[in-house]
Amino acid sequence: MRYYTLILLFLCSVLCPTIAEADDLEALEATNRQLRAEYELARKSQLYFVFDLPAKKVQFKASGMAIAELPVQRADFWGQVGGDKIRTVAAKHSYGTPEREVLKIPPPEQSAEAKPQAEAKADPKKFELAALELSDMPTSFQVRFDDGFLVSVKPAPEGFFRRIWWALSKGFWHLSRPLNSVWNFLHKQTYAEILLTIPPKDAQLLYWSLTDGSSCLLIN
Amino acid sequence: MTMLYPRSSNTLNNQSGRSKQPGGRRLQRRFLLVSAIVVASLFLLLEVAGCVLARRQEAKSEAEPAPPGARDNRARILKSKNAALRKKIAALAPKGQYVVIDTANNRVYLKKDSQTLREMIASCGSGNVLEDPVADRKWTFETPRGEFQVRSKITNPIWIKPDWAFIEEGEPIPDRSSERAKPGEMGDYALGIGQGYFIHGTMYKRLLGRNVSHGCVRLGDEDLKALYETAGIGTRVFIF
Repeated sequence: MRYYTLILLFLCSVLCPTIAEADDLEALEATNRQLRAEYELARKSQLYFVFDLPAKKVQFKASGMAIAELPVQRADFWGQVGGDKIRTVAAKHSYGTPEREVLKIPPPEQSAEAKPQAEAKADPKKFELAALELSDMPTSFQVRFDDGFLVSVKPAPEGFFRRIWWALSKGFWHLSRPLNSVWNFLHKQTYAEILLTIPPKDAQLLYWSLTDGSSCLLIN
Repeated sequence: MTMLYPRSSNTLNNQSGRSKQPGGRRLQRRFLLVSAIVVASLFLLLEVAGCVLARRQEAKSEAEPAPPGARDNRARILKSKNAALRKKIAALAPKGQYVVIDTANNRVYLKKDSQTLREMIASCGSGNVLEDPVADRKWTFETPRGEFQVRSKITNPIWIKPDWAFIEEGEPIPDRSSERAKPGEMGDYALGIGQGYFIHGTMYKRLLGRNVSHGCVRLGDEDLKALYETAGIGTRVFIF
């Protein structure tokens, strides 16, 4: 019995460092890919976003420096997330997308009628702010990247009933992902998605800041 | 002698109905049960297939392991490469003071390294759109995002009123440029950050903290003075 234990210990001492080294090497390679991608973004003098999921945060960065940081309460994955590469925001979707106010200049014959309106605007008592502000932004939305990768954002639940609703919707999310995978496979597309749970105000700020064409990096 | 009385047709119908109903219901129940089992099996099958597909994609992406002999060497090279990349990225960060503008919260921060030296309340772009269908022109009143630099510093700036300002107010666009000059509207100082955008003062101080500007960044008098005195030409400005 003593011999067997010794043999087992010997095998462990030989094999374990090899496995650890392999893990280290993989981690080093992943870090290298991530750093190369970030350097490419940082030297362009533009704003970019880093979804650092192990550190549970989303960083707004420019020139390699974090200028703002949002906490991520929870991240759920589906499919091949494939970090370490630069992705570009292709579109944002949400229910009740905020719309910009479009002011159209009236034709010359109507401009005389339009003038009193302009005067009414100048009157501080009648003043109504027509602007898109942070509070108008949605808390629940989906971002589609150029390679089809999806990031869904849901607000962290506050209160008992919202927690129940959140748990139910999360269960539905997990149940429906395999069906999405099958659907995309039938359409010869790969499918991967991350579901981020973020505090509501931070989710609004993320929606505000992520514009079409924004560059993003995902650390997985 | 037993008498046979004919039963009423209603009674007969009822009886035959009773004798048929349980069988029909049973069939109905069986059909529903079989349908539910088929649907559940199909759902389960699709779920399993979906999970397998997602796993298969993950497995495909895994890199091939390096040969055992080259591992140490590769790890050493990667470590030094990563350290060099980290240094390169860190070198891109601004040295000294810089300005961060949060357009969502209407805040301007004067910073040095990770330290905030001054926090200021601002007014950034409203995001509204002005369309001139006759001349086919369109303006979006949004503060641009990205990295900028202080390119010019002006005291007592004069606002050269652009076309959209006249259009918005329902006034005719003047032919002479002198009629466009509006002194005092931009406050005491202005810092140009390029593309025609400025950080300047405002006459509408009660609207500081709201998104009301046409794209420029408006500040209160004291904050503007402090920023003007601190930020030199070339100071980097980050807007998000």
